[in-house]
Amino acid sequence: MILTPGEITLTRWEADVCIVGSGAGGAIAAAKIASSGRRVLLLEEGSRVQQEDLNQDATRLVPLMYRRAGGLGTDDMSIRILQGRVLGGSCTINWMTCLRTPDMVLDEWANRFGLEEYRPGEMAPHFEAVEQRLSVHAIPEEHHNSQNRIILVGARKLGVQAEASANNSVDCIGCGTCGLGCPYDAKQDMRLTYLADAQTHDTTILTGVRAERIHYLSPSQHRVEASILSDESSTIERKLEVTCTQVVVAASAIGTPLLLQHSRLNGSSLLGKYLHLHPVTATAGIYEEILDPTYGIPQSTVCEHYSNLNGEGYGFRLEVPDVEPFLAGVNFPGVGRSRRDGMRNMRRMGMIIALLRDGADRRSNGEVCWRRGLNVQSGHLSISKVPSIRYRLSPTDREHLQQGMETAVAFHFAAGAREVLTLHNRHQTLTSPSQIPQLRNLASGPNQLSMFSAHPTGTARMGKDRRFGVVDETMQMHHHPGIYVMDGSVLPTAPGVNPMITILATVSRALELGDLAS
Amino acid sequence: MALTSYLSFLSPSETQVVMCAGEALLGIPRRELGDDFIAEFDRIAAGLESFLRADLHHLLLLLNVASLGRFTRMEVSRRERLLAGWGHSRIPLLRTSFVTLRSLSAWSWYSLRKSWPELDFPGETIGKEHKLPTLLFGKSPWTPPSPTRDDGKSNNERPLGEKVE
Repeated sequence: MILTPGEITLTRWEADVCIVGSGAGGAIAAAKIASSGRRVLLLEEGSRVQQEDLNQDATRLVPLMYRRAGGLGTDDMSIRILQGRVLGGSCTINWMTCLRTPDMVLDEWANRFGLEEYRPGEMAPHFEAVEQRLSVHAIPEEHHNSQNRIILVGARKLGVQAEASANNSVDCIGCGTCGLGCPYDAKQDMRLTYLADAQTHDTTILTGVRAERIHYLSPSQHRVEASILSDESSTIERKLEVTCTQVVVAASAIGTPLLLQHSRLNGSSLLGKYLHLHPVTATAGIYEEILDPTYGIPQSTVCEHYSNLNGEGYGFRLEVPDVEPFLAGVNFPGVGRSRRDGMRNMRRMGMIIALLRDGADRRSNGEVCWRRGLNVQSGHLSISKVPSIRYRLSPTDREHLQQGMETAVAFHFAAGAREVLTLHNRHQTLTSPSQIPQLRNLASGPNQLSMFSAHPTGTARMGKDRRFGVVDETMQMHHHPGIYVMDGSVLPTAPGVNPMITILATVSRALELGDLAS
Repeated sequence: MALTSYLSFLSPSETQVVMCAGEALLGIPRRELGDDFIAEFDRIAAGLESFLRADLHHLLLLLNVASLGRFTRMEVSRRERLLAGWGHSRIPLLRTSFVTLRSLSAWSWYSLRKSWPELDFPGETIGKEHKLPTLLFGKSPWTPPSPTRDDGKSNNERPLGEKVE
């Protein structure tokens, strides 16, 4: 049963397990816990959307389905963060890429964080199960659009390997608007898979309900205080309370630490730290022929050749993004008339993104916390607690991203681009691969080179020992038994690949190890 | 009714600043941007969290202060140089301001349907699946709730499996 704010009449609820968040982690947790016979109540802050709502209209759907109406970013706005705030979480608006966590990453988790239970051999059945449920398949050769073929052609000419990626679609028609939710229900997102499974086991899902605070009464008794929001906005209409024996927090690597800190469940000093973003910068090649990048399956190809630059599994991957007019417009470099003229090349534009696996220097690049800041409340300026996302690239990460950008430019030229643009504020158009070294002379610090992210992870990292992790191998909080964290925030390091499959499989493994779903 | 009477975030003076900034940043004359650009900017800004809305008011104020109150009266080329200078500045706050203004302006403009013709972007696929370079695998395009079809016919009237042009 799914209830929207207007349909919620009760303001006091009881459940065995209350889950906060309906993204990948919350959805699979709901399905598996409910199938074990427990009463599950799932709270989702975002709206319920169904196929008929997804009409490809960005002006309506971006504010409806993205956190901060699409305006989420680091405090200095140097990295814009695309994150879903909708039923099904970011899986509803992602670009469907389904890549398994590399073995090297899982081995690093075992070696550095004592997570032997997550070695590749232990994880394999979980990957297989989630891939089967999501209809994951390699994308056939004939389904790559012209833009994605740039990576294949560029790789071949440069003598490196690139291949078809995999995604979770059934009969995708390649409309190219994955970022606005799938209007054809081809994307097998959480709404159509694990949340549907959870409902067959009597899970109740309340949408438009934001968890505000968790009151920890004892290891087996908790009270979740929440707000019922008005439909399609964040205005608080009513309060709601849930009494339960266990809580699963799955509110994302941004939302989870904020909720736990606000609830004073911050026994671990690691909570909020070690934020990873998989920062991305894009390069735009302008080609003679029309590529029509707005159509086709995004990220249908990938080049993983550069994913291990330091011998420890850190580097970058090259992928091809979804190109919507508003996304291209926001990221296009320059100002004034030349910018407008550049945008007119959109049909001849091919984009390659370099997706960085950050964290190579093993230190905390970023943090999510509350800070004191100026706020406007009831029309008056005041100082109050506001959410803060701070992030800086470490030296090795910065070098890897620079190499990623340069490699992407080389791919464009190898594939036949007549010119290539990078996203520097002081941008210049490159017309030959011999100019690539000049990119090192351009300032590329915060807000000097446009970057964005769709993969925040790691602010409540998992570790067997409480000195190294906020949660244990079952994803139960070391300092607060009975409270679990099951989302991207538990990943001990950035996975290096688009994280949906990693989150689903690791939560599946944790539920097998613990007693929440037994 | 005047545009400013139904805006929920921008004040009348801020409306002028946003319009002039958008013109300089995007290279699109004010008359082309039009009221719907302002309405879209206002709608996006109003959807931000309250502390960000406060920051945005300060940013628009900063733009006026930095130009000694003359921002809206400057030549477009001077406005463009001023804003580009912020983007190249050593002062992080100015770069943040530049990026924020450019992002919001571009987001507002390129979300609008009227910006698409010059991009040669035909818009939604819904109702036009058989005419656009999409892939079709025998799936029936559904009838959209909004009137986005270009011929007024039901999508289901078209034969399935028709070759995509």
